[in-house]
Amino acid sequence: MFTLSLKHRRTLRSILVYGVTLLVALIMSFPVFWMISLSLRPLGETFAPTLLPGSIDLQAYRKILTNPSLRIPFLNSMLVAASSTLLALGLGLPTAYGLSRYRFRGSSAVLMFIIGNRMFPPVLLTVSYFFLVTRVGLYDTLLAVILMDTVLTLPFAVWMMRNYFDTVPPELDEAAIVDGTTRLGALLRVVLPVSTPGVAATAVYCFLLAWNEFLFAFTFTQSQENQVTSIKIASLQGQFWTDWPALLGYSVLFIFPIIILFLVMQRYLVQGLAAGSTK
Amino acid sequence: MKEKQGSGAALASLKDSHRRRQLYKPRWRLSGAYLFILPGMLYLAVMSLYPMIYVFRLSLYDKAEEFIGLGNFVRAFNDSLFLISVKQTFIFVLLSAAAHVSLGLLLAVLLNQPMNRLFRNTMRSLIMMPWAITPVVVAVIWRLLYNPHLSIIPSILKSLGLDVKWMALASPTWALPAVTVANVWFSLPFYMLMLLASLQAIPENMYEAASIDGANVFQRFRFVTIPHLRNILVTLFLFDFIGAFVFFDLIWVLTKGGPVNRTEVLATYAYRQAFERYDFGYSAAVAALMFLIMLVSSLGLLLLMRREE
Repeated sequence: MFTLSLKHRRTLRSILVYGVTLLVALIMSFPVFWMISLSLRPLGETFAPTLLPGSIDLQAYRKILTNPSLRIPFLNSMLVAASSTLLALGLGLPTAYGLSRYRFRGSSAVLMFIIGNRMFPPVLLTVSYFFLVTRVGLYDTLLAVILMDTVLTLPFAVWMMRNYFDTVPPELDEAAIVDGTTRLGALLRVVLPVSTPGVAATAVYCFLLAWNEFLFAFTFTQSQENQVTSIKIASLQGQFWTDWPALLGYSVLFIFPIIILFLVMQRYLVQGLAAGSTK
Repeated sequence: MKEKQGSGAALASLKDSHRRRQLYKPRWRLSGAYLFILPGMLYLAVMSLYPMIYVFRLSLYDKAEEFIGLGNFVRAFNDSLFLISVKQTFIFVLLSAAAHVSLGLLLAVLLNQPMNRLFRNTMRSLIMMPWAITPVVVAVIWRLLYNPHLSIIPSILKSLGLDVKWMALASPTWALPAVTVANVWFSLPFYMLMLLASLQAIPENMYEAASIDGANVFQRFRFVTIPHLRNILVTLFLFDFIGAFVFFDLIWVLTKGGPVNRTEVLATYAYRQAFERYDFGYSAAVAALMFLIMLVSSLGLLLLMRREE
């Protein structure tokens, strides 16, 4: 056993830290890199592939952007995610405000119920929804998907916004009420304007939840014109043969907006979630 | 603009009165609170509470919509595929949660080491990447990586002199671990971030004090880091346990429960009963059992982990 001077030990240690961190980062991001790399090749080159494409080929992306049946799902996903986000905020902001500002009989039970929604298995809800949806004639409509997705987004919106409203001093609302506005006015004109970062983070998160949703859309839409992107991706995987570059290019385009949103909102999202988890 | 400044000033001047919030008693009437929470609660009652209750009712009927009492539940406990699904659900969930929490902690500790800031941020962004990926796309990516012809891994293994048949998803033995790996990969960043935030909240002088007392790196980890993170570790473990228990998308797109039901979990089994066999009563019973098993076992876990304190 030989001894190292303190300085040498420090150097060795930091080489180790840098090396291991780099290795972990490469392993974690490799699958994404691999997907992008394969999507940039012509169809024949995907078998027994090399690490990098021989030459970059945008054939798959051209195919996606010129084919309307591949474009419609994107518009549908946008519509579904945006509508569900608006619905979740419209219903959730007042609920969050009510839970943050009032202590009333049953308020903790209400909160428990809202958080408990996360424990309701989506598959279980799907079985019930089948009967609800066929009864009211909403089968194979985007409206059905929007209404169902909101079951996932609304509890999140309430939870995150309640935590955010709790950080806004209630004396602000009181001052506004003394000045002659109503409770609702205080929410809309005083509390919401100072809560913009919280609302933005919540909206992004709700949008992502609905954008990613698979099960409800998979079960309750059928026709081509009502397909959302996640369903299209699943259906592009053939039983026997798959156009891998097209499928992967499609997947890249699907996650692209999410990655952008994440990079922009990274800090707020982490703050919002962390605030919720440590309570 | 003026209003904004006004509210900013109000915020600042109210900072010290903020502390009095605990003493502050709301004077407004109950009706106001109910008006605010009513729309959201009504929505969840119709779209979530009612369907929950409806499933329990549905589970008492058979395929011909005749009332059979607890018949579907009796059937489940005599159904070997149901029992296999229960076992596989637990394997999947426990492995995932254990890996998420332990690897998440390791990565958090690693990124918390002193290093160049630009390097750290770049590495963190790379590690975070899987978090931005939708379950369906996660399934596509891992079908790619597990595919013997399209993955780079077999050729790497070959160049290392290992001749391995690379087709985990088709192997009855390896399919469930393979699905678990995909699941661990894509939400690991979330657990890492949560733990990183908690690590940074540990006061530095705790470590200094431990060093002065002669504690080495591992002792500092064991006696300073772990006790501080105990609560968040338990919370994250349960959070993941519940989330993975009901998770459907990834397994369905990756393997559809196959090969030969070796990746069948309760969520996919319940779904199959309803939407492939049209046996809604039995599906409802399986789904209800899934919910009950999850509830009981997560409460059990909570008690177990609390008692160890």
